[in-house]
This record gives sequence, structure tokens and C-alpha cells, in this order.
Amino acid sequence: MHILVVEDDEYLSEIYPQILECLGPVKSCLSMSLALLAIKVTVPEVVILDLGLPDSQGLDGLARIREKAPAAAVVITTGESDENLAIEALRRGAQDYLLKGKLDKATLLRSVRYALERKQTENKLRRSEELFSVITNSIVDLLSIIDSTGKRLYASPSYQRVLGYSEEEMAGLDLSDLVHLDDRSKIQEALARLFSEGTSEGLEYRVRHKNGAYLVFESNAACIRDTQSGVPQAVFVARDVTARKQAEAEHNQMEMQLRQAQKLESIGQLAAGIAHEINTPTQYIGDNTIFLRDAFKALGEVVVAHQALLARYESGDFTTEEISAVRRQFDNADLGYLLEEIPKAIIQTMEGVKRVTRIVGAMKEFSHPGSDTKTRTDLNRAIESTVTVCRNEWKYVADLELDLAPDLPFVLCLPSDFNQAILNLVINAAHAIEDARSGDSKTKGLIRISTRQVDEVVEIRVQDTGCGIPAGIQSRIFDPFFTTKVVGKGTGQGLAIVHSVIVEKHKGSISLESNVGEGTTFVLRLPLKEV
Amino acid sequence: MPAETLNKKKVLFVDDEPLVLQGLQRMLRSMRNEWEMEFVDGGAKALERMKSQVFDVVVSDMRMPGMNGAQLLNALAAQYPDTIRIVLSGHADQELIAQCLGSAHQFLSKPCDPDLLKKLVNETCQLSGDVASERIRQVVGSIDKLPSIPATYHKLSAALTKEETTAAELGKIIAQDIGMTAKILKLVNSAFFGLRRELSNPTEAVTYLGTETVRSLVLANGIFEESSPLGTRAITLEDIWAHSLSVGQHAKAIMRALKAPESDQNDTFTSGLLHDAGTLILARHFSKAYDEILDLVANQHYPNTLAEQRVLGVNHAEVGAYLIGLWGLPSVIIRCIQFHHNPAQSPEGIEKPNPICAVHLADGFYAKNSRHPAFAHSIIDPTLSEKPWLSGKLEQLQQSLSL
Repeated sequence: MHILVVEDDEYLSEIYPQILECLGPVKSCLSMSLALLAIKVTVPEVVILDLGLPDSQGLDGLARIREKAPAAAVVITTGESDENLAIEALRRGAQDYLLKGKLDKATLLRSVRYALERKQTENKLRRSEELFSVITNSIVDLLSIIDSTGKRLYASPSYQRVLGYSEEEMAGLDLSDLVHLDDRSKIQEALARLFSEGTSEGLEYRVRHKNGAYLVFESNAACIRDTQSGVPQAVFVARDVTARKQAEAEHNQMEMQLRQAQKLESIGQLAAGIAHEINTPTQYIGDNTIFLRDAFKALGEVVVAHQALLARYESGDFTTEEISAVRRQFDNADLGYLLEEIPKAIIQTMEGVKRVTRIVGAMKEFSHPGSDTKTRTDLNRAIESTVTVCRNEWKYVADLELDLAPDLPFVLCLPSDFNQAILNLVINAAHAIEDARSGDSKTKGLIRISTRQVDEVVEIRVQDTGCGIPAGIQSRIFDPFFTTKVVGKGTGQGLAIVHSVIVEKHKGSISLESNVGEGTTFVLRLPLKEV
Repeated sequence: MPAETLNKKKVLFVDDEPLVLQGLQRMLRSMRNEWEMEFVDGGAKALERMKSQVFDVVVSDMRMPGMNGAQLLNALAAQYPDTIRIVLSGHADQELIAQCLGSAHQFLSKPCDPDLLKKLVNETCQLSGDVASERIRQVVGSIDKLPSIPATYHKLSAALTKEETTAAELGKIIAQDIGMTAKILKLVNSAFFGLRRELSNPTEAVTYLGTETVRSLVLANGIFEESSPLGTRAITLEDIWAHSLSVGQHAKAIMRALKAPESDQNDTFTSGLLHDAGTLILARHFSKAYDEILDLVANQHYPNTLAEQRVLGVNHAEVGAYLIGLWGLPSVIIRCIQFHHNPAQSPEGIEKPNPICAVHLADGFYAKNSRHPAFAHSIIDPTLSEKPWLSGKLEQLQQSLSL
């Protein structure tokens, strides 16, 4: 500890160092100018300052010392006549004052020790205050302190920048007036809980910018107690998350649009498949009808010839040539073939019409227009319709088996969403089988869909003999945008939609069992009772 | 009986749906005296059947389990190139179509008009029958592109890389090239694109397909081919191109001068441009023989068709008509190619001005100003100038074209 003694009394300026040297090196100066020079060389921790120096009188001396050595503790020594001045010196930052006449060794030592200690505490406090001020002035976050009546005790300058007000405007504003009307009660409740229980959760609310636009703030609060009064106060640390909220909203919007796109894409794909499913029976209905037309014409000619011959026969006026002519016509008419094929052509035409009817019916059920509300739905039938409309997507790579519990209760659900989920799973299953089969195009895979009631839950299993899902990616398959298909082949929304439909919209659950190279089973569980 | 069986066209139908096969079988029962038909339910079976009996025509579905239509047609194209390959499918799957753009000669879509099917099989068989050499039938049957002039090819590629290029601009470039015109018309006239009428104008074709489709067909599917040198020393692709373009333009001008309907004039330009497609095929695929042919023409004064007949057993008109017929281009174009040296024998005849006569006249006019043995010997049928519509106008017509 360095100590500087500034004293023009030659005697005292020798005595003080002798007393104080037990505390550390002491330097003694007879004038202010010498003292200031000494400070330049070594900054002292304690200064013993006489207020009546030849080149410095009164508080001026204190000011000059404090200017050069702000961290030093200053102890004033003074004559009795100057006591008022000494008291003023205390107010201006001196640690203590000693009356020269009453000074003894012990008093001086004690005073210096205390002065030093007080000064150190003061320094710490000042550093901490400086730090606080640097932090609060420079942080992006918003810091405020509110008392239990809601009165603002402090608001960091960042409020001005974020909300667009000047310091003066800010001083005159009640922050709670800027909070969105709908969010005020939320804040009130949080404050009440904070003051009563001392706990708080993250809070999100809207605050009006000077330009009128609402910003979204996210804040945390803590309860502190005033050091003197013990009255609780709330410290709020808030952050402007408007940009992040916007980005989130845009992201959600994009996800929505992508899901819509996936729906449209699957509808487009389905339409092409359905066209093929309808074109095939239409082809043979047309062919058979043309055959029936030609066959009827051939038969009609034979019948008319026979009718004519019969008339001639009845009238008794006919020749054997006429009979042989009709016989020739009869022989050439390909009758054996016609009689065998006509019934088949009729049956197959009817079969074709039935097929078209079935597909059209399934299409209608699949799309289920105008069902935005949950209705009691026969899931078995919904599954049958869905696999019929997408038959073209799986029939070339797989056989499809349905094992539907005949006594399955109706489930309250959104039919078109449910169909979409089943469609996505079946199409994925077909793709997985196609992947697994590549190279071997002879054997077909198998897709098996079963329904069961298990207690209060309906369980739908969609099983395939496809390539399987590696364990490493199983946790990500329901993420929107996650896809293993080549770029441009899938939107990555298929399973995300399944998840959204089953888990979010129907409060059900999805699990999967998958082994690479063996296949995958998706298990959907829908609650029978609404949660 | 054996003689009759020999003349019957052998047609194989392939479809995975037995009811479709049975329907076709009944519907085509009336063709049983002209065609020998078989029906199998898969690609593998079709290939197996071909081993013991080569069919003249195979009509196949596209999407089938196991071997699909594209795979079957590709296998057929490699093993039995002279078998005519027709797709009959209910699918409009672009990707699948792209897979057999090269190997399918024609596309029919389900449900298909039975008369169209019958006509298609009969007409292509007829053209095939005109090509007496099996070797040439095989070569023509396996051609999926005609070579394009490199400069034109580059011009088109450059135009396609620009976003702002219009269909009209693309059409204009394509209309300058024999190979591109033939191929784009093959595509647009296939039933897959659902066109209800025949198109013979490349600009209309591009407009109909759309610049995007054309872009992906050219850049991704490579439907056109930039020509390498033909391999004959007697003739270059540029010679054939200059001649064809001139005949196309003049044939169209002749039709206009004779006040023929606008639509016929369009047909005439394309017909003129493609009329020597056969010469291009011979020069490209039978280069040595073609040297010999032009040698006979130049030194022994053989007419071109006769020299071709003597060396190869077929002439360029038959070969060109066969390919363009296989590709399903409008029949007026096919007949212009087939009869451009002898219009009087065409079904249209020469009693009235028509595209065949116009191409014939333009070809004859060109010959008068050409020294190239491939083109200098086309003679205008003298009976043509006696017809009332042309009588006394021949000189005037030639002058008006400033030939």
C-alpha cells in the first residue's frame, strides 16, 4: 500500500511517515505541486491531505488530488477552525477528517485503515455500477425494473431504440400503455404471480412502436427486493422477436403451401392413374361393342335369309339351289365363334362398366368434398376407396391385401384428411417396394392394410415388403421437407401430412417398425372417444 | 392356303390385361383373313414368341408388371429392327413416353378407334412391303433420328437456352431442317399428344407442344442429332439440304401460283423439304453403295431410281416413304415422298394440281439448274404439261420462280 502525505508542517511531515510506514511505503510532500508530481510517479492508495498548503487552500486541494488519483482514499487533516470545511470535504469524497490538535498515533492508523477499506468498497461499487451502466447502455435486450404497483423504476436505453422514442419522450411514457390491449391482462397475471410466488415463465406480448406497428416481445422476469425498504421489484429482460416471429410465420405459410402442393401433386398423379384405370375398361368395352355390332349384323343376315327361305318353304316354292345358298351363308357366318364369344363379350362389357363405376364411386368417396367437420366414418370403406383410386400407383409393383375387421366401429374423423394419410402411406409403400425390387422386376411386393379395434383405440397397420427405413433416419421421417427421394421427386411433405392428420388433427399416434431390406409397418392409432 | 398365309400380315398384341386382349381379338375378328394375330399378356412372353415366329407388327401396352412396354420395344428394336413397333396405351406418362421415343414407331392411345388401328397397321405394312430388301427394312426400322445440319442444330440449341425464345422462332429454325422437321412431326402426330388432326407444319407443332416441352425434348431427351459427315464422298448433307429446301420453297410457290388452298401450301413446303429423306438415309446408312449409285448415274447415265434399284434393290422414294410412314406423318407427306418421281401413279393422280405434282415440278425445275448427279436427272412427266391446269403455263411458272 502506497501512502502519500501532503503536509507543509515540517514536523508533521516527518512524524506521519514514521507512524504509517508499518502499513506500507510512505512518500511525504510539502506542497500540492510536489504531491501532484509524486502521484504521476506512483499512484497512492491513501492520501493524507492538509487543506492549508502554501500552493493550495481548502477544498481546491481535495479536488486536484481526486482528479489525479480518483481511486485513492483521502484523509483530511485540518485545524479546529476548519471543521466545517472538513465536513464539506467528506461530502465531496474524502473518507475522513482528523483534527490536528487531537491527533495521536492510534487514531491516525485507524483512520487510514478505515479510509482505505471504505474506499475499496466504494471502488468496487463504482466498478459494478459502471459495468451495469455499460451493459444496460449497450445491450440489445430491453431491461426494466417495475415495482409491485406497476410503476417503472428503470428502463434501459435500448427501449428508446427499439420503440423509436427519444429519451425525453420515453421518460414521459407509461410502458404498459404501449402493450397491446389483448395482452395486458396476461402481463398483469404474470406480475401478480411473480410478486406472490416469486416465479415467472417466459412471456410473449405485443408492444406498439412509435410508428404504430406492433412488435412482438418475449420476456423473462425475476423478483428482487429493494435493499433498504425490502419492497419487491420485478426485473424484466425482454427481447424484440418480431423478425423471428415473422420468419416463423413465413415458414409455416410455406409449409402450408407445400402441403397444399403435395396434395395437388398427388391429385394430379392420381388423375393420370385414374385415367389409365378408366381407359383400360373403356378400350375393351368399345372393342366388345364393335364386335357385338358386327356379330349382330352377321347373325341378322343369316336370320333374314332363313326367314325368307322359310317363307318360300311354306309357300312350297323353293329350289335346292336356294337351300344350298342359305346353307353356304350359314357356314360362312362363323356362327360357332359368334355363339361362343357373344355371351363372353356381353359379360366382359358389363364387367368393364362395373369397373368404371367402381372407380368413379371410389373417386367420389376419396375426395369427399365439403367435409371440414369430423363425421362418423367407416374407416374400412375409406381405405377400400383410397386403395381403389390409387390402384395404378401400386398394381405394377405390388399385390395389396386388405384385412379389415368387419365389426370395426365408426370413428369420428375428417374423412378426406384420413384418406390423404392412407394414400400417402400406400404410395410410400409402393415406392419403397419399387426401390427394393430394382433390378428384379419379376417378383411383386406386398402391401397389407389391416384394421382392428384395440380397447378404446382403432389401429390401422400399413405394412410393406419394401426397402425399409434405416434406424438412423426414423426419427426424422415425419419432419416436413425431409425426403430420401431425388430432388424434384418429392416435396418431403407426405409423412409430415400423415403426422399432422393423425397426431394433430385426430389426437392419435403413429409408430413404425422397420427393418432395412425387409419392410416397414406404420401403425396408426385413432382414439374412439374424442380427447 | 400356304400362299395366303405368306401374304397375311403377322400382328402380335401385348397387354397385361386379359380383357383388353380378348376385346381386341373379337373386335379384329373381321381382319382374320388379312392378318394373322396373336395375343400375349406380357413383354417376356412376346419376346419368347418372337423367337419362333417373327411378327411384322407388334402392338404393345406401356405399363405392364415385369417387363414394361418401353423395355419390350427397346429389346425388339435391337433384335428385330424391321418389325413395326406400335404403342397402344392408356397412359399419358411423359417419362414413360420419353423412354420409348426412339424405339416406338407410332403411339396409339386407349381407348383407340378400331379403324385407326386397322388403317395404321395396313398402311405401314403396305409401305414396308414396297421396300423389297430386308436389310434396308431393318436399317430403316432402327432409325430413330435423321441427321441435322450442325449450324441449324447449334442455332436451335442457342435459341433454346434463351428464356424469351418464342414457339414461332423455334418453329422457324426447325422448319429449315429435314431431320428436325420429320422428328417433331412424328412426335406431335402421335396419339399421345392427343391431337385431333394431323399437323404438317413444324411451327404449328412447336406451338402445340409448347416451348418448354420442346426444350426438354431437345436438351434432355436428345431427340435431334447434330450430323457427323455422311460417309460418302459423292454427296454431303448440305447438298441434300440445299436441294430439299429449294424444292420445298418452290413447291409451295407453285401451289400459290396455281391458287391452291392455303393449308395445302403448308403441306407442300414440308413435303418438299422431306421428299428426298430417302436419299439422306441411303447416303448416311449405305454410303459405299451410294457412291456406286452416283457413279452409275454420272458415268453410265442411269436414272437415279434405277441405279438405286440395281445396287440396293430399292429406290430412295420407297425408302423415304417407308421411314416417314413408319413415323406416322400425315399421309400427304408420305405420298409426296413416295410419288415425287411418278405423280401419275399416286392415288391423287395428276388431274388437278396437288402437293405431289408441285413437289414433282419443283424437283424437275431444280434439276435443270443442277449439275449434281443426285439431283440433275429428275425429268418432269411430259403428260403433266398436257393437263389443262398446267397446259401452256409451265414456262411461265418456271420464270415466275426465277429459275
